[in-house]
Amino acid sequence: MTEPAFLVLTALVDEPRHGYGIAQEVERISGGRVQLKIGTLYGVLDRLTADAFVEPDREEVWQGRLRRYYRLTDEGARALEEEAVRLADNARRAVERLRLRQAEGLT
Amino acid sequence: MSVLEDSYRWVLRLLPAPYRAEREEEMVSAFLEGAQHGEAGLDDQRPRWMEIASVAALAVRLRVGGPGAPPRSFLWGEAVRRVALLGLVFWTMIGFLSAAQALIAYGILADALPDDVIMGIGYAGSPDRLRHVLADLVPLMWAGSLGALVLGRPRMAKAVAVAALVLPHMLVPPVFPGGWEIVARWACMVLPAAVTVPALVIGFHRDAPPPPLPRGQALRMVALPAVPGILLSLVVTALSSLSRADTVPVTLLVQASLWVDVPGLACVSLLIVTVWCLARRRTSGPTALAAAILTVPAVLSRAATLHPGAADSITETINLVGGLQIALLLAGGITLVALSTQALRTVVDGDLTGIRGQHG
Repeated sequence: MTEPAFLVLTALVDEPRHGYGIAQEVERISGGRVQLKIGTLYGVLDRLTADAFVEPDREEVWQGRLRRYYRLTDEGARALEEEAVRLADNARRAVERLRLRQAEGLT
Repeated sequence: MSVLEDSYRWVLRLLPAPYRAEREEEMVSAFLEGAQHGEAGLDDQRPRWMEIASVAALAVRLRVGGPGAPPRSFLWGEAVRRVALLGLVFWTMIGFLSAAQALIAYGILADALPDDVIMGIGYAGSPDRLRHVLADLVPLMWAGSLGALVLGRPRMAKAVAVAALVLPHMLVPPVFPGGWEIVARWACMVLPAAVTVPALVIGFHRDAPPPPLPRGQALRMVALPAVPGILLSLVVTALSSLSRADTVPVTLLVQASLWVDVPGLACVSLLIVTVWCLARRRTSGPTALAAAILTVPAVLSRAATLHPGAADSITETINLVGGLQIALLLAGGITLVALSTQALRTVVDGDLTGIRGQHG
């Protein structure tokens, strides 16, 4: 799973969001590091929809413009959890090894 | 409608019409909501280059579709991927031809040439010679790119292909003493190889990865063009020997040489592909489309070697054989376009039998 896909799924965990809402949330979650361009965002949404990880929730008209909301599916939540566990596991191993290196006075 | 919205909708025209019909309004909405946070008014802004690039990248992915894409997009995707594959196979053959020629010409493999024959550039051991030998060996990297692709490693294939394309020109930079005409001729000569790289880059993406072959099969795939490449180097060596022996008329040797140089081999290869496509009319749509695309750089590369109006017998021979090859390529190209059009019509009718399942 790519980082943008991971962040988009994470952005949809608490509530359905529309395109710009997802982009904003991804920027917030990543501490401003990832700023999804609209073309990239919709490319990611296409793939996640094709994998049945997200699905359209509802449509709203806001200030005369269409907002289509997307929500996380159960399958998407499972995939996100698996990926999060895998990444956390990798991060934990990296931290353990770094501590060991520090303990051995290699730094 | 603000100038910004108008500009963004214009950028979105890069996307296929059915996708635009589905997504345009929400994409415009998302884009404008982001833009409203800017300081300038909507009439004083233009979409940023990164924003345009992201739409262009999405458009390429949608138009050059993978197995899950709509039929037309999938057919174009397959065609682009076959441009890359056919290009890699061809340039692997040329890579082995070039490398074997270098080994013979510089006496690296064995002293294949008579003592009184001086071949190659620079004296033995000089940096100049090393540069030229490397420039002749680097095209072997095309084989590495092909190998990586058929082993299912497209990123490595792309990186190696870029290196195979660029490195020879970095090692031996082209010289343009004669102005724009020489530059144009050089560009036409480089075009057949240059086409392969963007086809590889845009054809194989996340939604259209190359199916990995088992190692043995992948090795055979690389050996397939390597064998004729090595055999052709022997033919070229034989032609050089005949030329030195002075027993065969020069014009006859020139005629033969024009069939084993890069544009000549491109012509022969494309004619073989055309015959193959005609024999498998029903399922050859993407390959025919790919070969039709490849015909354009092949024609240009041969045209770049012609000198219309020249009076000497050798140049006349070059023009005659080159003209014949261009005529053959154009005839083949028309046939391929007809086959491609037929395939595109079939796709519009929704019949993809024989095309689906051939991915890669």
